[in-house]
Amino acid sequence: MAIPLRIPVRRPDREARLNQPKLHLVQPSCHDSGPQIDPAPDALTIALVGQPNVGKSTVFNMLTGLNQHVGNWPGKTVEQKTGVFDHQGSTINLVDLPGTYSLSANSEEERIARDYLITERPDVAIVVVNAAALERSLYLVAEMLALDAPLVVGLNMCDVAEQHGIHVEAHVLAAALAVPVVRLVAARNEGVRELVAAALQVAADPASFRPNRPSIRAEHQPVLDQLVSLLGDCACDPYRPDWSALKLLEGDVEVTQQIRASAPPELWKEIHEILMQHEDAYLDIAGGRYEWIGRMVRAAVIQPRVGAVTLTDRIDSIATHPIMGLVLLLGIFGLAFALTYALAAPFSEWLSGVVLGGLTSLAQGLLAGAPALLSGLVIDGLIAGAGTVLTFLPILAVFFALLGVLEDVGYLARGAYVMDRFMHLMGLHGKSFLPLFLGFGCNVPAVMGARILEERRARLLTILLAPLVPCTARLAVLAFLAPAFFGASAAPVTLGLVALNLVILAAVGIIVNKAAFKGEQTAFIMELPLYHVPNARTVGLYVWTNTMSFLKKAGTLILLASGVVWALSNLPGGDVETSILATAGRALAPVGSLMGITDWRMLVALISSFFAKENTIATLGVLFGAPEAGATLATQVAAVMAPGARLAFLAVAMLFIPCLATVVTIKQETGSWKWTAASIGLLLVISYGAGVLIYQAFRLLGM
Amino acid sequence: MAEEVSLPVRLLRLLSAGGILSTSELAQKLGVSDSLVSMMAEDLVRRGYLAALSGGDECGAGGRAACSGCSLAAACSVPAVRDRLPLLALTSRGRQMAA
Repeated sequence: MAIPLRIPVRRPDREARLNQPKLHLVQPSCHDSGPQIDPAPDALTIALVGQPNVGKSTVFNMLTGLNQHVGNWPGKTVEQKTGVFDHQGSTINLVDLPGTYSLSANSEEERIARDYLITERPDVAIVVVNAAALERSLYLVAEMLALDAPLVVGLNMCDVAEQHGIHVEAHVLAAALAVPVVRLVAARNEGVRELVAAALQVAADPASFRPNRPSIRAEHQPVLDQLVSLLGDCACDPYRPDWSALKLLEGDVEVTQQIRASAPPELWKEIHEILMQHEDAYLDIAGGRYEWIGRMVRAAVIQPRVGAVTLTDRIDSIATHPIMGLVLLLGIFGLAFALTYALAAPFSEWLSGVVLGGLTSLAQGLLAGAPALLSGLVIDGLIAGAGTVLTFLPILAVFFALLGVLEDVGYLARGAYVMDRFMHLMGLHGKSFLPLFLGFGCNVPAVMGARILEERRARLLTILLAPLVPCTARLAVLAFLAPAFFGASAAPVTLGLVALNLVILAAVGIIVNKAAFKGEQTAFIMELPLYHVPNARTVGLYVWTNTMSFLKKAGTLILLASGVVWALSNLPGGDVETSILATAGRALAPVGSLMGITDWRMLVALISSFFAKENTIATLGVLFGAPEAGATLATQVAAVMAPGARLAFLAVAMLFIPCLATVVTIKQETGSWKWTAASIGLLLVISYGAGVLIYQAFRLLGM
Repeated sequence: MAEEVSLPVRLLRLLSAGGILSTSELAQKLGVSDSLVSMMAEDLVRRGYLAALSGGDECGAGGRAACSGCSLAAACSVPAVRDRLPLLALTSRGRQMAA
């Protein structure tokens, strides 16, 4: 059957349009390439519309072959492709519009596409849609349906959709849309001719094109009618009044500007007033489209069978479950700690024994003739301090590797999700979650994260929470000492201490919530990534950047602090026991004794953690000196404290005053010394309180 | 049968109840697909009813921008949180609409 070649019926105003400024199909310019293909003057024009990468250009190339012209849209840098092809004896003009997600003028491409569709009015549009992302594609279809051009839908990428378990039924979609839908495999030229045939059939009888359009809520119809009549009375509308009215009500910036510029001031004032009263009309207009999309998808997409729920859904039924998810999170982190200890301990011992020992003997040899002051500083200060911190390296590398795998698999996002929901149940305000999100690695971004809070009071109070988030440096200190302190129970103890830390965070958070947000709530949306096999490169890079940054810190800040601690432990007389540090440490002994920590070296170590949390270990290294044979620094430290005191010490180390970098950030963000002092004071009270409670509880239990 | 309020407004209302909601949870509650929820959320961000807290271009205060000023950024142990997780929260306009 031949498709009649004729000027389409939908052009009653062709003459009028010819006099309007418009885009030209082909406008030669010096950038043009390829042969000049003139559009056939009386032929039908089909516009190809679709999102980027949907296979639109493949369809275009299949149809036009060499008969195409590539240039630029007049005055734009966007590529314009036009061509001519024959279909059953008729010549047809084809215009490939730039790939667009909507017709909302968010980009140059979208502006070009919609200007073309409105001012040039192609006889029919072919919308190529992506079956694997049907919702997004249908949004464009919904917007297209508000325009004049009749359209047909080419359903492409069904194979990709099937791989994701999505099956789209073309005939059902066609029935739901009341628009012809042709299944395409553009890459193999399947369905392309059928699609053209369907398009030409619609173009031949546009009156029969009665699609199922998204509806507009009843309450907005009178407003829309009012705007249409206002626009209809003036010649200021470059588009069609009903379309312009809709776009005005949607708050479309470009249409609003155009009409504002060309409308008489009184008219604009009237229009503007109406728009101000319906500022949120967009939600209803877009809502109409979304509901329409929802209906189409429900009709045409066959849901995966219950048995064939995707792997991600199946894992998530446990991983994001309010209770089981939390148990799983604890289990996974407990396992991560246990693995870290098991895998890293031999390397750490080797580092501290062979490498550190070797380094010490090497320095002893090299510095044999040097003044005692210099060899003391290097061997007992820098190597014993910063060197010991370097023995963390295997612990950190393994921990970061595990964390990197958990993150790359997609689990960490679930962990954060479960954790935050738990915090919410405990009454913590949504926006205070943020420190948890940002602060797990380092407290500095957590403090900065509080900037999202507009209200100063809420911001200040949230900043108080930030240092309570266990950072990696503190976890490393914990990881270094726990195995020596608690042997086989190290992993559960570590987990327990982290949990204690989080419970205290929640408790303080609840108080902050009551004071700062007065119970008002807000929520987050979180998009959980799909689970996938971790990529070795990503994980490797993650471990690399993290360990490098740790090494940098050890080589600068911690090295310096080790030197200072050594100096203070040798001044004035050169004897540790009569040094400034010892005197100061002993003065604190009464405070420490309540926590069972009587050794002044432990107290000094805690205080030195102010400069950087890793300094706790560096200071212990300097003050305890080189470990005796068969012992490590950690076992030596363990020997000076009872189990209750060990636990108390670790709890205090976890909760102690924020490090210098965090304090500086707090001062900078709050602009107030008072708040900075309050933050330090709060943590001092919390950490001391926790230490005393733990030790006294152990004592009462007779342990 | 149309709902009392439109889909985007229902989404905003679910959020105003507080807590942390995943896209699929919202999708279930609204009876639509996950991708439709993501689309709506993006749209609501563009229109100023929701704001991205971290990740995205608008993280300004909370996300990447905060990290970029931090010398320890590379050591931040949760890159997903830092860079990729789109955390969206109601803005005051969104809260007003949901009320």
